[in-house]
Formats: sequence, structure tokens, C-alpha cells
Amino acid sequence: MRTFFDELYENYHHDLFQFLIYMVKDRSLAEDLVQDVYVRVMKSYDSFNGKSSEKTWLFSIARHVAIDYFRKQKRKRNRFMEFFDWTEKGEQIKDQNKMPEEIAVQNDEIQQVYQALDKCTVDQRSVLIFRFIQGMSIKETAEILSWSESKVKTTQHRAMKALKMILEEMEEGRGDREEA
Amino acid sequence: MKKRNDEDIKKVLGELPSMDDRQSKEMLYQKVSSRVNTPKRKVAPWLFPGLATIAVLLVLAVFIPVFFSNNGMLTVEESADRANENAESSSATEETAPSLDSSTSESEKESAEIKEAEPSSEDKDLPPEENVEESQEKEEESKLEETQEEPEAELESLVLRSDEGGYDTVSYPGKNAEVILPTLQKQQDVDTFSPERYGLAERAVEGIEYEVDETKGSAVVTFPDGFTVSGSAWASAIVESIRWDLENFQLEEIFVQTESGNPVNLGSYGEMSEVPVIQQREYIFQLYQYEGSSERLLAPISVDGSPTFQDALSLMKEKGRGLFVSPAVPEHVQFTSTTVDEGIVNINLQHESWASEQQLLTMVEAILVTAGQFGFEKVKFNGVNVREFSTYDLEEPIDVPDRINPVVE
Repeated sequence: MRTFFDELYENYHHDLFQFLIYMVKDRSLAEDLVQDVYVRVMKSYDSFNGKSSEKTWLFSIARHVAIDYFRKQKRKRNRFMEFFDWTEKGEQIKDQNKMPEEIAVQNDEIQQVYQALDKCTVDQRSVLIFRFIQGMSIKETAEILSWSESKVKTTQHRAMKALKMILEEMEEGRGDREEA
Repeated sequence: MKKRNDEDIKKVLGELPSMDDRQSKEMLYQKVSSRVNTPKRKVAPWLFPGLATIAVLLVLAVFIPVFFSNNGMLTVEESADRANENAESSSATEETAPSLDSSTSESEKESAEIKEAEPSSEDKDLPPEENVEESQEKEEESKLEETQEEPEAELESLVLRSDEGGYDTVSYPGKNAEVILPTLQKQQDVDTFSPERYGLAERAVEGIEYEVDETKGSAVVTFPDGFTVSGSAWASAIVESIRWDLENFQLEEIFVQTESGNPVNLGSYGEMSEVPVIQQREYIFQLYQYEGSSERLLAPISVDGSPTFQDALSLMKEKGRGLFVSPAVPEHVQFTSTTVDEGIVNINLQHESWASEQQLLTMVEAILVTAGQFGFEKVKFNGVNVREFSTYDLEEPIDVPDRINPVVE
């Protein structure tokens, strides 16, 4: 088990952590999730049939770990909101100002794009991270997501469109505040 | 305001800083290995609290009635009297009951005789499956004979190969609502389309509105307030119709709600606020043809457990997947193996003689559509032993079609 762990860690850990942290935007949470990924990988290594590459397999597990986390969060939030009838307030609980220092020292444009990623859907965010932050090919992305290449292209197109719109809205909001 | 193009955004995304994991490799390994090696809990965590709750409820169930009865003995006596009265009256009813029973059974016999003499309207609409299959086979055979006699007859294609716009997907339940048939209709023909001609039932989603947001990749389906559905088959027809109507948009989410924004009560499905989009490996395609109708449609047949494509090909040959549904792959075709190479699936097959060019075309198209549902982009058929027939060049990989069942009124 140790050798296998070492191998995965050396080859993919950096990219794996990058993917998770850009998905969940929280360092300590990403650290927990990365553990979950390795645990699942170690437990299911026997079932790895070699049809896909090790990298594809690992990132596909990572994506499912992230999706499971979002689902749990959604369920918790729904229960919470039903109980207290907070309606929209529940959506606002997340701390919008929380930004890792690596991002905080960057220019405004990078900070805006980082924040705008939050507003894309989980699928769109996954595609943007794989394609442009990690520089994977459409084929590789399609394999990880178990999609057709055309679906990756469609989702990428929608993600770019959504990102542009969100950035424009953010700038409009900022402009309004400055005018006021 | 700054205008950005795709390249600007890609550049900024590429410049997002690298963020490193601050836990050491050793620490991470310790945490992971301790979790991997933790023995599984043998007893479910909810078991003891659950048993304790049940025990408390049992105790309460015994003591609460006793407590209340002690508060008013009179009530108990009165109810005992009433119980006796009820017992007396019920025995009186029993005495008169036989005459009622006998009259009922006589009338039942009569109605049974009438039923035997005259088949019910349901029987007329829905003949037994065996008869339908037989009649379908006979019809197919006779049709094949016709096609063989008239080689110049135009072949019937069940897919839309060119990326032609102006079509809407409109789904209808089959005659017994077992399958949902997506059709492609020219936008101007939607109002004049006759489902009866294709042996289809009326739309299951009449009065339901779709609002698609392609940017977000989501749709909202709005039902009228007070919407009710009768029967689980119809509830399933509604859900499947929605999924197929919206399939071409490649959505990520489909929300359902009533006009006032509440979840929709869909009978056996319970209250729903979301309908799952169609995923890969969910359907294979067979043929739907209602008795007496000359029109045929490709029918998506749902399969369990995300089978492999090789398994899906075998499932395509299975009969009995629904009333008026038959395999598009002839029995004599054997799929020996499949291999995948960069989005192209190679299908190696063996076969006896083809009954007609139409039989081959229909099989090829059903397989292409199924391959598309399984995420492949092209299909290469090996071993068909027909180099080119009017529609496809079988020597080359063939693109899977995007859309099925174009109908022209």
C-alpha cells in the first residue's frame, strides 16, 4: 500500500489538491477531501481494471468526492432551512470574504475570476479547472468526467459564457457602489 | 466596463496561482492508512438508539391507555355497552347478508357471461402480448417480402443525420404508456401532428410549460397548481417525457415546480422538485410499431446498472421489452467483440443473410443511436459484408446521429 501511495503522491498529488481546493475554495476542507480521495483509492485499488489511466481514475474519484460533499452540504442546508424557515438566508451563510493568501496577493482580475468560479455550476467549474487551470485536453477531461467530448465542449462553452456574464455583473455592481 | 473575450478569460484562469497542500506527505499517509485499516463497524450505529426508542414507544403504548381508562371507568363501561350493541347489530346484518351475497354473485355471473361474449374495450385496445408479437412478426415478414419485391422503394431512416435546425423534440407515450417515444417535428408542424398515425398516445405533459436556460444548463418545468396524476405508469410517462423533451439541450439540471413554486406531487414518485437528466448508459434502442400502423419509431428502452456496450448490444436483441416493442437487431446477428479506440467503437459481428436492405439499415441506425447514448462518437461495423448501401459507407466509421425519429406529416 505504501508504494502505491508514494507513486500516486509523487505523480498526481499537486494537481489533485489544486483540483479540490479550486472546487471547494477552502484549504482545510480540501485537505480533508484529499484524504477521502486516497482512502477511496486505496480501498478500491483491487477494482481498478486498467481500462482508464491511473490519472483518469484518480481524478474521477476526486470529482465524485467533491460532488458527494456538495450533496451533503445541500441536504444539510435544506434541513436547516426547513427547520428554521430561513428561506434565502441559508444561501448567505458562506463567508464571501474568505480568500486564501495565494489569491489575496494577486491582482483584481484574478481575484474576480476566482470568486466568479463559485457561481458556475459544479460541472462547469470541473471543466474549467481541468481544461484551463490544469491544462488537460478535451479527451482527458471527457474521460475523467465519463462524458462525450462534445459534452465537454458544450459545457466549456457554457462555462465561459457564464463566467463572462458573472464578471460583467460583478463589475457593474462595483461600478454602482463606486458611483454611490 | 471591460469587455472580455474567451481568450482573456482562459489566460486569467491559467494565471490562477498554484496552491499547495500544507500537510506533509508522511502525515497524510498516516491519516489515510489509519482510515483504510480501521475495521468496519459490525453493528449499525443507529441500532441501539433505534431499539431504545422502540422500547420506549411500546411502554408508552401500554401505559397511556391504562392511564386514561383509570381516569373514567364510566367511559369504559359505556363503550363496552356500545360494543355489545354493535356485536348484536352486526350479527343481524350477517343474517340478512346471504340474500345480498347471492344477488351479487348472480349479477357477477351475468356480467361475466357478457364479458365472455363481448371482449372489453380494453382488450380491444391492448391485445395480448404474444398475439401482438406474432402479428408484428407477420407484418414485418410481409413487409420484408414487399420490400424485396419492390427494390426501388425508398428506405426508411429513423434518424436525423444532418445537423439541420428547426426541429423540436416532442415525446409521446406509446399506446400502453410503457415506453416514451421522442419524435422530431418541424416547428411549424407541431400543432398538426397526429400521434394516432404513429400509434402513439396523447402527450403526457399537456399543460406543462418548459423554460430552458441554456447558459446555466438548466430548465424549469412548471405544472399547473393542484396538478394530480393517476397511476404510477402515467407518473413515469410524465417524468420520462420531460427528460426526453429536454434531452437535446444537454442540460445539467431540470427543476420541476407548480405555478406557485412548490414541489410537484407525482404520485408514486412523491413530491419532486428535480427530475434527473438523461445520463450515458441509461438506454438502448429498439423498435416501436403499433399494430395496424405502418410507421416505426426508435424506442429508448431503459436498462439497469450501466451495462457495458457489449452487454447493451446483447440487450438490444432481447424480446419482451414492452408491448409493441421489438428488437431492431435480427436474431441471426452475433456480436463477437467490441473494441474502443479514441471515441470510435469497433463492432465485430457475424450474421446470416439479411432479409432486406431495410433490415440492415434499421439495425445499423439503432446501434448507432445506442452507441451515442453510451458516449461514443463514431461506430465502425466489421463483418457486415456489404460494402455500401444507399445510406452509409460501412467501410468507414460512421458518426452517431444526434437526433432520432424525424416525422413528416
